[in-house]
Amino acid sequence: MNSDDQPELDPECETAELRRQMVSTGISGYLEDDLPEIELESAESLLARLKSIEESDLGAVVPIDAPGRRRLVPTLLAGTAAAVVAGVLVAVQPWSTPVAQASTPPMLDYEFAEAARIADAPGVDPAEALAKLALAAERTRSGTSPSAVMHVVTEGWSIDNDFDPDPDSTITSTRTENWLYPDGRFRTRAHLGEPLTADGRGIPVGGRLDRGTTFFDEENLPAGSRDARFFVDMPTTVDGVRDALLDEIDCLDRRRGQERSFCLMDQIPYQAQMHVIPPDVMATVWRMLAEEEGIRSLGTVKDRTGRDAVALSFIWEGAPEYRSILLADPTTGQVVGYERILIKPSSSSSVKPPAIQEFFAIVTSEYQ
Amino acid sequence: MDEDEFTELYDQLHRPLFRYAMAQLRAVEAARDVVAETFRIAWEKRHAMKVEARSPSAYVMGIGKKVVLRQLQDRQRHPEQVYEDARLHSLVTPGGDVADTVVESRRGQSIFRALSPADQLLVTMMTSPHLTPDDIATTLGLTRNAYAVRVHRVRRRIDELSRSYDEAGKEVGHEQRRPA
Repeated sequence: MNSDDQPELDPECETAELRRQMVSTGISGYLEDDLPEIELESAESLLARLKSIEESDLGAVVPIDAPGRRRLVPTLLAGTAAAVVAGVLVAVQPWSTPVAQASTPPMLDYEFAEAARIADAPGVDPAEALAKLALAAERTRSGTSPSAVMHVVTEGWSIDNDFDPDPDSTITSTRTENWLYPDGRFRTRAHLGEPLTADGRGIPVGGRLDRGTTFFDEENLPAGSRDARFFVDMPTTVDGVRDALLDEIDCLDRRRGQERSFCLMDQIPYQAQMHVIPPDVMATVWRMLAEEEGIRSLGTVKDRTGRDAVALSFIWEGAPEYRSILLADPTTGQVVGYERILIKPSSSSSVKPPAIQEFFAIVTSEYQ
Repeated sequence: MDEDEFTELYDQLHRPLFRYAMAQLRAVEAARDVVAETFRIAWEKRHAMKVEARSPSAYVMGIGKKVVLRQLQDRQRHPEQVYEDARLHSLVTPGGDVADTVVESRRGQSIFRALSPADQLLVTMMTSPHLTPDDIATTLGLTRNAYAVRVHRVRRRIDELSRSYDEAGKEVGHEQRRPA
């Protein structure tokens, strides 16, 4: 999860240092020298062509000069917007269903917090919701196997990685596939997802990743990098679960209060992206949260995959500009998603609240 | 934005944009298309640019990011097109590695390729002296402080990759890359 506790650094100094570093490591040389034989169109030629097209009113698709070159997909222009709904533009092309066009993903409507009121909706006492989630988890069978690989797939968006200031842009999620091996090896692969639908949903659930999906990033960490048995070995007592999670984040204040709640509400979704959490531990997690300060229930919601989910909300006093929402499956008691919302103006974000800063939906969580 | 301003913007940004598109798409023709399409949109929106954009440079690079994304989406729907791009231009090797056929810094290449796409965009934008820290921060949707922290983290990441490269004496590749 992103921390709002950022040190003060000077942008100009950092930029200058990075530029120097790029020279000394050869990155600048690589980037600047890789194009000696590639001629790009001159500004004069491009401008002449654009003015010619404008005058003849040919529309959106620009024919490229060399014969046989592949044409670009027609782009969406601001003028093609069919409707403006709550600040979100909707367009129908080239996808078959309307997609969301905005700088940040559309807000979800919760049972006790409509999208328009997400900044100040108080929510309700979470006790009943947490008790039901704990029961649901206890009724779920465990698939634990010591030799199994944990496989978790999420699809999400974050303002740090995916933001486009153009309000006409589409919101496309990134599909992240994680494998955590028994020896602590960790592998993650990132693929391009599909644009969200106009209501902020449309993420497909479950199944294997379509191998045709565009892959664009990968990381492999060696054995011992992560503790694959973190949840498997966790005591299934409220204190045991709490202590383990607080140890993992090295929480600054372990007394019941805002800081502890912040640590726990940060760790649970973070760990759920990498681990398959055993049902008995998950049940204890919900019982543990029932004892924590500041957690509220926003009731039910249709998450970004279209599943029914229960929403638990927390606003940390240390960063009241943000609202964190943890989503859980009422049938299995498992974590299925997370949303972080900017609800007040913040010096750490350039967008206007209320605005989604980050979300992810867990679409697969299994042993392989 | 008048024609002179457009020309100046193009002269300043078309090569960094091309480099970024090349890093993501690994195909010369596709990267050329990105540049052409980006500036076509910028030209169409030139009347709105002064009102909407605090920084025309950042605005244009933001458009470029979106166009690259659409190219990637297009490939997802038409994977045969990637092969077509590769056949069209001899500078693209069968493995898709353009850098092998031109003069390069292998070390710089290895480190750059090991960065996440988001960090590659930031680093590519750094190659243009015309883009200020504020321009880059705006394109990435960051406040000044968040941008400075981001740059600081990228510097640390490059340090790690650089050390790994020197110690291993080989390309850092997939074993060292971290998601953004």
